[in-house]
Amino acid sequence: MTIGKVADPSAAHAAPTRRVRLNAALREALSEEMERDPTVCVIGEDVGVYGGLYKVTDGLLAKYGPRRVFDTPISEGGFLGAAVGMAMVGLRPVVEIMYADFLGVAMDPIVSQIATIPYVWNSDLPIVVRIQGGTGGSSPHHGKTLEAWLCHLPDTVVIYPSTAQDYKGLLKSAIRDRRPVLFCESRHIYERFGEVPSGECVEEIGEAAVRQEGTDITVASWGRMMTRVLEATEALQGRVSVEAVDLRTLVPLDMDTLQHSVEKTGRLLVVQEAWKKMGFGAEVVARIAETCGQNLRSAPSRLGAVNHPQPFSPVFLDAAIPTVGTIQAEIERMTASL
Amino acid sequence: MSDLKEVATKAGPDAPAERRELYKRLLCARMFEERMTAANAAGQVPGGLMQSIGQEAVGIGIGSARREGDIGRSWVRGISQAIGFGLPLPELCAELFGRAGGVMGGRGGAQFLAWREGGYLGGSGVVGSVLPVAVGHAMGQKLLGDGRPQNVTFCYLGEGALHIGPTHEAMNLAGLWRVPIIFVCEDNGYALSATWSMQTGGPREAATRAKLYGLSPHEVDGNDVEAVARAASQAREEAISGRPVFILAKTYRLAPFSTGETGALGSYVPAGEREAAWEHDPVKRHETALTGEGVLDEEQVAAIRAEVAENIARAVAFAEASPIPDVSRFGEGALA
Repeated sequence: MTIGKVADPSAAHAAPTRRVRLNAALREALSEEMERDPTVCVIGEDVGVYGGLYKVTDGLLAKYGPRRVFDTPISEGGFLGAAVGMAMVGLRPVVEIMYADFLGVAMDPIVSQIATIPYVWNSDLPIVVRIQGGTGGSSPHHGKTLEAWLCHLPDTVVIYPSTAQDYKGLLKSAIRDRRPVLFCESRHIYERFGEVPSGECVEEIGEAAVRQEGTDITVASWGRMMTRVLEATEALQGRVSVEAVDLRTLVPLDMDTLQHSVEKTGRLLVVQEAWKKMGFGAEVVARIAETCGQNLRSAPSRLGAVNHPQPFSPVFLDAAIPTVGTIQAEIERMTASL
Repeated sequence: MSDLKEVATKAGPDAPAERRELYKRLLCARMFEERMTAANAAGQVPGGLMQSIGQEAVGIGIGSARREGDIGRSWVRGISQAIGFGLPLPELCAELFGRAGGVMGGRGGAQFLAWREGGYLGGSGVVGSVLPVAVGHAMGQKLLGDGRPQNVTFCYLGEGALHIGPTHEAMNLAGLWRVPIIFVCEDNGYALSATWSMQTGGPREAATRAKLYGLSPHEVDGNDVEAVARAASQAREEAISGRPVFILAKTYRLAPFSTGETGALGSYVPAGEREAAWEHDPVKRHETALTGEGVLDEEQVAAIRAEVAENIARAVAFAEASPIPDVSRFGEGALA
């Protein structure tokens, strides 16, 4: 059985690494792939002259020029559709959607083109859509987490990483992939530092990573919430043996790693930043119920955002999504009978 | 149909042979759709068939300007455009039959007819959806051509697509990026039942809107196949030299919205309008012009008609003999 990558402290010493911010890890991935393949181009609002709202594309215009890096008007449905058309004739566009909230006006190319063309045409469609999201910000229109919309669609890869190495390595793999890839990012962790390999950094799409091995409970998460899961896990050290699984790729989901973990622990908690109702966590729970429900020793549980639009005031935001405290409390509740 | 490819492009539609060729293609589009309408009624063609009867001069005229490497994108009413681009009739027919031998292996149907080796990449069932994609094709033609494109993208739309966002975003991007694209708007008078005045308070001047986005505006009689062919050739030169084009081709839908149209047929069409419009039938019109000028005689008309009928019969036979798709291969080629 294939199981996901397991954290190996000795391996970290073997290969030299560098410490970079997560947005810089994305920038390195884009730049290296543009260097490697002249058909890779970057498209989006303010990605060129301004360098991206969160500086992910900073410097790419100067390095690769206006025939590789396009600033667009505020026209998500237009430029995302155009990028699909470019991918169909031999280019490999990487599109930036500035906020996940703007997916509302960009969904037609995703639903009608990206999620339809490869199957109906029986062909490749090498396009990457980078979608920056996360709760909190300037308004209820700058704070959504909408991966469930994307995961519901057929034939589309959805990636949602949480570490510097995955930001870089999975984005590079996404750019090289023959499939359309929807690549979700969390601006709240852009400024965090993490280790990336000094040499080539490519991560396998479709593999979960076991960030910490444990025996009492499996806690699965992705993106920004993964960082909170690891903090909660750390706080419970010595009391509860948590197996923390970073899903990294939501579609296709690494069920082997998840199932292997749940068969061992008998308990499953899924933590997501998006609204809990009809979220991706529900799919994880359903699939575990289908594949190894008989191994569950207690009812699985989900944590997610409360079922309201994201309010503006920070006091609401703290109550809107799972925190280290609520995650820790839920793990304790689920393992109280131990 | 392969013998029809590229024929009308060498001397322009003024040469007698080219004019006869345009007639043959027009007739082919008309007779093929009539045959598919019968096949639809007989249950051989599933779904509602969206015919372009009455509008064929647009698809056939534009198609005559196509060069090797050009791309065609269409809308839901895209059969005559496909024929104009040269999509082989047997594979076209088999696709409409939903058979494995269809150009999409039965996965696409009339709305997703894509003949990749010929550059005809078909339409979309969502009105307006394909226009930004077509701009992307033209952007690719420009970028991969090192800024000097060798080819263009022809993108058809109905006038019903003039009021949805992606159309305007696409026209704006085309003007901004100066890509080699030619939008061809078939104004057939009705978006299902909605007339122009039911869709906008603005004037019936679609090309003026396009001009505001930096596109070169053209208007042409969409029932005059030779006028459309000339407009297409001029537009191609203009687009390839860096000015995207918008052609408004005024025509009329002589057919229902689709064979699935419910209620009294054409209940929204004023009494007598459609009957009067048959007076301007583009096929008959071209035939009358050519016979009147001595380019065609009755004997040649009969011979062309017989040849087209035979090609269509062969296409239908191919489709009928083509296997029904194997359901066990439903997931073949799925990516994720």
